[in-house]
Amino acid sequence: MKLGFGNNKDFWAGLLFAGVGAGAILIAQSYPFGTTLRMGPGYFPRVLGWILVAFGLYVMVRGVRNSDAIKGHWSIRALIILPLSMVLFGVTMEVAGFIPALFILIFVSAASGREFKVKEVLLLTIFLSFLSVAMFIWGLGLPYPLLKGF
Amino acid sequence: MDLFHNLIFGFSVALSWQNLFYCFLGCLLGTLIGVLPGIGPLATIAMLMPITFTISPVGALIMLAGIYYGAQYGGSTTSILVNLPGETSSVITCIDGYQMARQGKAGPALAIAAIGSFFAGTVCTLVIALFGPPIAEMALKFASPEYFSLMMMGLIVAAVLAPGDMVKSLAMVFLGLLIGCVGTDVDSGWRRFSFDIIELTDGIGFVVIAIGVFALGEIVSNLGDPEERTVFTSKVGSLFPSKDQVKRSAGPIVRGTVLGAFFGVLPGTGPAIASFSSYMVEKKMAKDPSRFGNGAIEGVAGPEAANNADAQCKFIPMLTLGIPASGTMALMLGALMIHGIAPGPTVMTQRPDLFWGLIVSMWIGNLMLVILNLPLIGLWVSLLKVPYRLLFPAIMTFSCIGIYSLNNSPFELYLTAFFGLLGFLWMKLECSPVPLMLGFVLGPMMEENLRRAMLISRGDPTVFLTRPLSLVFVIITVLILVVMALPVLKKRRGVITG
Amino acid sequence: MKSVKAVAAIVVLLLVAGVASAQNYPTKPVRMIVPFAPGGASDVVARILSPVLGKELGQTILVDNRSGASGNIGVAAAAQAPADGYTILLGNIGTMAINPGLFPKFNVSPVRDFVAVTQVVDVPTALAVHPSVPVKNVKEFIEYAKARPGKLNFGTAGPGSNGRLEMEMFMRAAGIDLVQIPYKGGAGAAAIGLLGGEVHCAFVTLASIMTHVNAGKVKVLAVAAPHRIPTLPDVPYFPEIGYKGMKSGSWQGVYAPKGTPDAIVKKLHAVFVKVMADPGVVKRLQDSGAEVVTSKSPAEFAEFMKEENDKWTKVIKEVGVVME
Repeated sequence: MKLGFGNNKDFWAGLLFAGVGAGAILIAQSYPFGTTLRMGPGYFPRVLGWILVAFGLYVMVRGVRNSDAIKGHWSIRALIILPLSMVLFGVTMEVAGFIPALFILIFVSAASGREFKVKEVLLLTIFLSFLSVAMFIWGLGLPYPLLKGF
Repeated sequence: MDLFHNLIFGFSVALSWQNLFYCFLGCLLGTLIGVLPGIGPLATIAMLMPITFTISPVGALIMLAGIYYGAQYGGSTTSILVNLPGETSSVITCIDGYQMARQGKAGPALAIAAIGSFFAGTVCTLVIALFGPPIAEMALKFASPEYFSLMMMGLIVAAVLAPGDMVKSLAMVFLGLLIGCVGTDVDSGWRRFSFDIIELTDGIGFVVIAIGVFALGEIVSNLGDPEERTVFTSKVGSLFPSKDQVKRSAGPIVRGTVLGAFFGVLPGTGPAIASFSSYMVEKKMAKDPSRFGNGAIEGVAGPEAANNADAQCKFIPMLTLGIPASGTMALMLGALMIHGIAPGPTVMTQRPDLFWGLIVSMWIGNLMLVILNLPLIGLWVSLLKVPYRLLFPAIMTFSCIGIYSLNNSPFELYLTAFFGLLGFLWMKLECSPVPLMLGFVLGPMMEENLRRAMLISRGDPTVFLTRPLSLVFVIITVLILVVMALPVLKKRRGVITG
Repeated sequence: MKSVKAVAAIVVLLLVAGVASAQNYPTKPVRMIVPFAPGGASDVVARILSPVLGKELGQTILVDNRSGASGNIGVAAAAQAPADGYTILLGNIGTMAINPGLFPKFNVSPVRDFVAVTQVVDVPTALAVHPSVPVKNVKEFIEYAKARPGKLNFGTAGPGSNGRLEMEMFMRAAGIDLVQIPYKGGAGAAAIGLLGGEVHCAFVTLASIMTHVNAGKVKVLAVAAPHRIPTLPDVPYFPEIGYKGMKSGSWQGVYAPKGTPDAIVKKLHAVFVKVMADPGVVKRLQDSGAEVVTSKSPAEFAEFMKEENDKWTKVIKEVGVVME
């Protein structure tokens, strides 16, 4: 079966390995290599980089010869929203405090699912926020302000 | 019968109402923080230390120890239920434990995890009581050449036994090794792959990768396939393991205990190595290795026994030599010193109440944990009946708080999000993250020990062959390679002659 | 004209508010940033102090562990915090005196960006050798090492660690040449290397090896302290045998962000001096291997820190340690 590169599993996996390996070699150029007897900080990264490039190229070639498609769905919606909700949680923790961060996290992450009922999510948010505050702030005594500036 | 007398004495200490209460409190708290990702026993013990100033040193130590091994029990729970490793050591449990849950076998998986941990805890209590001091002396014989040879052996075994596509698995091991290079180089102080980001100068945390790749990746994939997920939440089978499941778990539990005890005594090994190696051994010994990764109960039983044995045996060097084998043990040592007790070779004779009281309390604590955890299984499993659209925001919440608490900073969250994306990508490209985790854990230790061995030997590589223990590991490695290569060679020869 | 008056009024108001807040201080929980992970030596000191400090101040003390980058992350967080006395920093020899020399690119300066409040503890460090090294005192050790240039190893917790720099200082003063063997995982790992005999000697905190000294597994040749240590009456301290610069071990102290009102700094100093005299605190710190040392005034501590900064920066330059 012939496939375009766009959906070729091994081609992309190989490219990923080779790319990371090549990147590592490039960055590690500036680290002293040392000798085998007295290894510098660049020794391990560069050797590993070359090995990865070799593996990557092999997997790529294998992919081109013997192509195999990527299976399953790409849940693009969740793929974007979930990591984003984590980042938002981090940012809000710094700016506004624990409770606003929780609200944003739970609301945004819930939006990545297929069903989103505002009332239900609101109840969930309040429940989880209360549970978290009780467990982490009151119970374990983590030093986070519930609401910054107060 | 010295041991007998000592144990009786230990029981008399540990069974006092107060100490029983502290033991219970510690175990309960340990289970709770074990379930929560990110927040581990180290942080909890540190936060609770001031409270222990007011109670007796024996009670304090019993409680802190309870938190520590209690966390090992709790850690497996979320691994099995939702693919979220509660503790570093329970990452391995995600692989087959979570698959079992998907097949409606969460109950048996949780039960076997608790039973395995209990068995390991009981055995290790006896080991500490019987052989504590001589074992600790032996552990000191391990120097950098031994550590390097041992880890080399582990890595090669792992690579040979890698699941699925061997080439890709090997590539993932090397990728893991490379990710392990991130951070300040201990020899020279160079900051490798830190991109001028100050938070990266200490390297990437194991928990960050584990939660990103396993938990976050899994949620993303579930949300893409909603039908699949609803199917497995609706079928929750028996809560307790069948006879067959228990029978299949017995061997792995025993082997896991032995491996865990071995790694536990060595100060230079992290928490995940014991469970990793147990998993590899079980897979190697299995008649049908393809079941692993698809819900093999052996893949839960062995590693869970191993990580509890590892945790418990970490007490040996701490109590008998005053050597902390891990960060948590360093903290326990500190707690003891604050109470005016200096652990070390003399503690058994000077404070027998502390030594034997603690040992017996560990066994009592393990018993409590099993009694505490078995009824909880029903509760945990019923959590799976919660609709997924409500469950996954909860998983996100606990993961985020846990990750934030690692350094009280948001940076780790950004990193976890990044690894979540990568994890999903790997899943799609069918690159198993398990070899990557192994490379990531072993890599920095291998590099450190190799370079140290070379520094101390002044660049003489024969040091790995001239030290007997190291030589043993090298020989075993070569044997494994030969055994693995034989069938291939035979086949080749067959092709040539035939 | 009007605007000048308004500005003046605001300035006066702010000043009054400042004084008032200093008088009432503290009215809400105080955050103590510990730039190291839970369980480390700094954290233990913070946990011992915080309950008593909280009682004295009448407010909760929140211990906030901001670890990473040799403590620089926590130091940066404290420097950026509002200078209102509600954020204080528990710094140590590493973050406040060694790091400035090690990380010239790091844009927070302990001397410039912080007000010193008081020193709280000193953890004496010791030159310890494995029993296989046949020496009884520092003089014999130097002779032994001189006969074997580049043959003996010393363990450290990394190229920029306290123990490494102390050894470098000692090596320079004694005219000997030892090889550094760095260990990941902090001073504890280096101490294990010393106990197992993988390295011949090391500068380690007394607390980490005391039991082994008693058991004869390690020999202590001298301690870096201003006087002899009560638990080791036969062991000399370095200034006593001619090493004048090696009179303090691994110290820790309290800091506030630059710009914290004087009145608050004075109050914090007074409260800390009181806390450090609490018998429970003293006992716990001593048992954990630390000695209580408080500064007579914030100015004295600032002076001490300046001295330490100069001393270590000089050693770092001489040795040529760079953290790229």
